[in-house]
Amino acid sequence: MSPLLELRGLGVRYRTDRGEVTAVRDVDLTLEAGQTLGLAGESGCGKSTVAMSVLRLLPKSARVDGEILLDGEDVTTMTWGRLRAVRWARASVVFQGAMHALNPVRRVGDQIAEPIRLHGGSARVADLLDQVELPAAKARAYPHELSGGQKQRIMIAMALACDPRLVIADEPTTALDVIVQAQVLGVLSRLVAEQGIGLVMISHDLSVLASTCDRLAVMRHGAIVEQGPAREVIAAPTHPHTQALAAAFPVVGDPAFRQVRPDEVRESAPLLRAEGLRVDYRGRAGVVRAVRGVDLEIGTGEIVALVGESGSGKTTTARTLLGLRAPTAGRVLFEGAELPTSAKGLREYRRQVQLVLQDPTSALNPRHTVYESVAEGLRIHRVPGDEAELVADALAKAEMRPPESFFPVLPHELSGGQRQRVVIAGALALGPRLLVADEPVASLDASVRGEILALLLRLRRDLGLAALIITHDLGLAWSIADRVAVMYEGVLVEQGTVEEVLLTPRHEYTRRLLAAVPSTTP
Amino acid sequence: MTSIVWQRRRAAVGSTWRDFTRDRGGLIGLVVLGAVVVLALLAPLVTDPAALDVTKAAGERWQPPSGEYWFGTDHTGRSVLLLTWWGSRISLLVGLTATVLSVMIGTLVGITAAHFGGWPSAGLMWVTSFFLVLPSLVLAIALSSVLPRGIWTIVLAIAVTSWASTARLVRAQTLSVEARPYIERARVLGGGHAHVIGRHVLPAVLPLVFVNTTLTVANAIVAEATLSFLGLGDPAAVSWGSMLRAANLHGAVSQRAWWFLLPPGLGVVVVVLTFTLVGRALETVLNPRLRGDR
Repeated sequence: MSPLLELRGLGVRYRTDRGEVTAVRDVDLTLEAGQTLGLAGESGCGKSTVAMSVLRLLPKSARVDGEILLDGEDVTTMTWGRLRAVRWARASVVFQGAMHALNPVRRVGDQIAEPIRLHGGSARVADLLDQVELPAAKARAYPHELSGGQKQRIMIAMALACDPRLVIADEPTTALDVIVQAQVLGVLSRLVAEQGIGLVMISHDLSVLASTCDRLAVMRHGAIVEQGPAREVIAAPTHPHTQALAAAFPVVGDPAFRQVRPDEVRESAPLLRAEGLRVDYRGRAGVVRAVRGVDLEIGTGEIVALVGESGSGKTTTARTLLGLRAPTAGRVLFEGAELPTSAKGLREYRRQVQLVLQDPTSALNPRHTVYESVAEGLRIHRVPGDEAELVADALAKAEMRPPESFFPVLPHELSGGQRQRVVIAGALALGPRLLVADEPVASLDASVRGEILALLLRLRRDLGLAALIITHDLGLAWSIADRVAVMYEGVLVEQGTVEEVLLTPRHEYTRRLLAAVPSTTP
Repeated sequence: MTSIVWQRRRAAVGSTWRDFTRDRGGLIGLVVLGAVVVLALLAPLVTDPAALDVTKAAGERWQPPSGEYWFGTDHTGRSVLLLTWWGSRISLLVGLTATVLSVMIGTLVGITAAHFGGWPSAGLMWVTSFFLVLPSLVLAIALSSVLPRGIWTIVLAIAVTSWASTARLVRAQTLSVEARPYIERARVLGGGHAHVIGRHVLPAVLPLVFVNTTLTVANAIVAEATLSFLGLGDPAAVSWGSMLRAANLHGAVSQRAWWFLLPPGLGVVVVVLTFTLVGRALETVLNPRLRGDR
């Protein structure tokens, strides 16, 4: 019997304005029923193109070579009618970004039933919802009434609607919190085991794949560089790219991933202090208490990680510490003095505390060159001295070398990691003493995450720069922080040194968080 | 450093120009518009304004087009060609100045309303909505009958009644720009309102304003013709609107003097059409979302 899915010498080229671009070359993969195959790689490596080619969902500009055998039948030569019959009934896709893949003005039950009606079956929405562990009543909900994890499960239910034998999940857990991610992964694994479905799972996160997949293929620049049983690939990666990917997701508790040397953690004077901080938002549905009494302290040269899931109030806390938002109650002290409220006083404060945003692509004005972006703060504060020299110095500190060669470059000509360095350089130009970094590596590719984190550590070592790192990623906290504060529903439930909090958690929520972290070690 | 910036800007202008020339309609519009503007500017150099004086009119009344008077003569014996030629000066002048004024008011109100928020912004948008729902022609007529007659009154009347849609557009664009993280970064760097607006918002909004300007000019020219036709313009100045008014008052229709009606009417149509063509072409160049699939 032929395997469920077999790709033979698959190549995909796109016709673009700049000629042909090869997205995928010579990919050979096989998947048997009841198996799970992980496809790992960074953005732009062609993993989504491979997935979309299976159902011929590629744009018109794509040229496909090789064979795509679904149950022994070649998809590339199917007639249009045959292809329509095969789509969803034999193979289906859980699309990336559940937030945008659902129609916002239709009830989710109708959306799940849509493929069934198209293929002439009777809708059994309640049954499908049950399979993804949602109550049947949710069928009457609209997408905006559901949480991210629930929407993702609706997407899975939709993919299962016509009893396909193959499901392709494209980044099914990106943008979900760890605990929700663990639930969604659990649902997927159970379905594979119970129903004998073949699952192709695509992700940039090796730890996610390691916890769900039997076999793993790592892609780079459109080709598969390593392939084998998941455990073996992760435990003993042979290709340097796989090694880089594996190293980018630190394992909590593994001393090998701890980048802070014990002697580095030293006694320090308090730099920034929040006392009884409360922040209320006046929303449409009444007052939202985003932060409900936070006491936090960051010492000079100290790296503190503020960990929590989305909506826990960690970003609001950071905005308040930066003086971008006034606290409803409580106070923020910088070196013992309360934050100024005047425009002039706040401007002075900005020279001490700087922000690094999550997505460097949108944090830089696309019309400004690197030079202009880095010089922006210098110009605002009319910093004396030779501007070009100061900009070059800041870029060099952010390890952009040689700095002069980056002066005329526009952000879109840089890689993600370089853009984040420009943002950091712009902050460093003002000579701050504290950097507040909001998910500084979350939108970066795995292989450059480590570099940016290492940069933050080096800045601390060389310049004594303290940092408050806001993240949902416990591994990141383990790798570079001195202290960790865990935030849940607007309250700090636990804080202490990294070892205390992450190795011997006391609070129930911290334990749940740690248990949900996918791990590359079995 | 500045030389690199200038080089980049020159390159950007070059590529915008190349994209623009790809739109044939826009190119034709630009060429015709250029010709009209040059002719209007040259009028005092190549013709004698004395011939516009009713008392010095040399020709016969109601003369059809001939070798001597290409477009014929009007009820006082003046050359219609000459009148149309000189009329284009007033039409273009009023159209352009009214548009500049209107776009300036609109941009100011739009950016202010979007940037500062709160109740002043709500108040500004109330005023904007008020001007949007008001029939602008009625308001313009009311304004120009209250104020002293003259072309600047017309300019003011057109500007005051047409800025509201620009304000809406600019406000929407400003809101979308201000939601981007680089605005937050600028604030964290210590940038105040002037910095955020001057360095980030204005450069992002200006292309849109520019497109809007070319499209507003067309409206302003029509509005000018309308107001002059209704007799609210400067009685001493010849414009296309006032020519049509004269033709109407002195019975050009009953005289079957089509040559008195057609040139000013076609003038308005051609200028409005060229501005619209250029505006649409610019819009597709500066707003890539409208370009569609290639």
